[in-house]
Amino acid sequence: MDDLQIIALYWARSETAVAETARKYGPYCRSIARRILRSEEDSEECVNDTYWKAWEAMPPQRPRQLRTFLGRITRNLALSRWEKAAAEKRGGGQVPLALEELAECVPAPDSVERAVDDMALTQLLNEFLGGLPAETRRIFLRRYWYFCSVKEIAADFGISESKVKTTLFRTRNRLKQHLEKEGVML
Amino acid sequence: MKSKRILDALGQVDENYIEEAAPEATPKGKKYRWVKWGALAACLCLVLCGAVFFVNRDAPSSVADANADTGITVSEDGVAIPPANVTLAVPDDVEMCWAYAFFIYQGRCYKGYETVYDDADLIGEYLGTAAGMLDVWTPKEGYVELAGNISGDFYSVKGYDPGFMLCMRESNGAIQIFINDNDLTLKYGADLFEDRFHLSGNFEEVRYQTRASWYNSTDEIFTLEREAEPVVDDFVAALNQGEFMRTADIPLDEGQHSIYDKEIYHVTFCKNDGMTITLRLLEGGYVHFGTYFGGTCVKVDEKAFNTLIALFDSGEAAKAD
Repeated sequence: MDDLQIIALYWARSETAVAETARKYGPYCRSIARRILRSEEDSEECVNDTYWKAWEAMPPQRPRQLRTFLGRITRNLALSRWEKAAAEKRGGGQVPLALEELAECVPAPDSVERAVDDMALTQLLNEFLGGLPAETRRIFLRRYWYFCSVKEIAADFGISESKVKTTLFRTRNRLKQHLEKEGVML
Repeated sequence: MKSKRILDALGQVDENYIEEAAPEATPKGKKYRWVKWGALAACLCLVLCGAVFFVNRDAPSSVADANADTGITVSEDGVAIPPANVTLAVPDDVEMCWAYAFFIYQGRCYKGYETVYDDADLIGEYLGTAAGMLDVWTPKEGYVELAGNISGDFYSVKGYDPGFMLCMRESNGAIQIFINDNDLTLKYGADLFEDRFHLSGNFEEVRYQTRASWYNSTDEIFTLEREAEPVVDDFVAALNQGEFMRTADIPLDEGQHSIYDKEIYHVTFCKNDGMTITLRLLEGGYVHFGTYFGGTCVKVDEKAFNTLIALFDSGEAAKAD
């Protein structure tokens, strides 16, 4: 079933919408949740919550890309769960590593700095990503959006792990420079 | 934490970038051909839970928490699964809940099992009309005969006991199957797989998936060839002879924190009538039936179990392109 048909089922409030979503995008959402949560039980609940959120969102929304729409919900829900787990010292997985790496991108304090809201920060990130070569962008997002390990990325792109690490390192530096150039304060 | 702000903001970046970076659904350079058993029409790979809906985190969401809370008791008669404690009401301390599509008929709770999409000849006699009616505000006394979170005419399923299985016709022509997996006692595997599902001799394709594929959602699914039939038949016989037990009683080996640390395979039987039965095979001979019959599994003779696993491990019985 194509995405437009699935979205139409949501708008028609047909129960089949959820079954079709689970069938087509369940594995995609599960893989996002698992990388963040590392717990099968939590991931399964997170994916189920994703369907619930999708049911609440459609209507009124009509996502242009259903897969990304669902993936984004899963990622947000999983990160919230991860945060709670981390507060209880049950975190782990790729998220703390990704956070540690991204700390390198935080701009150094400067006299011309300005505080940006989340929307503006996303806009700056979009500009930054748009300026990257496609493969670099994909590697960067594979690591910090999908939380794939360096090993997984290397295998998927057919490159060495050291090349992945170097690419990520350079891209983080570029991001830091980009944010500093914009005078951003986080 | 400042880096968390970047992580969160990245979550909202242009969807085209996210789509572009999405991991491949299947591993590169390896594709597997489906090998049919007999003249099989499109036996679609269906998710077990079918069209499921709102809500009840009181119910076990996984085998890991399916323990004494489920109220399952063990006696000489077998494993007794108590009546489903269904409620759509959201507990105060829970943000959101979830459960199955369900309705109540003759005092039994029928849960959504799967949706059959091809032209399966499954719809039997008209038995009634589920009224829907229930939502998160319905008090407990509203959970009456024919109430549920789904509405529509329901029917018996040809060849199956209506005390176990019912179905509804979806507006798109698909058939939604419901099963009653609670308020019953199961002693042997045959009580479920033969008496209720009529598995032996009624399946035309068997698929399996490795733990890595299941865990990483790479959909690396193999279909057994006909030469595997004797091994599969032995396994089904052992499954029928195996005794039910509580999943919580599965012994863990040293270093294992949950049953998910065990080697896991998933095997799906595609039945002649279009339905599927997906079983989770846990190292040591334990067979668990997805999210149904919560908190129970069948302990299968290890010889038959391991022979089937060895077949999976060897990859010999599945033809690859």
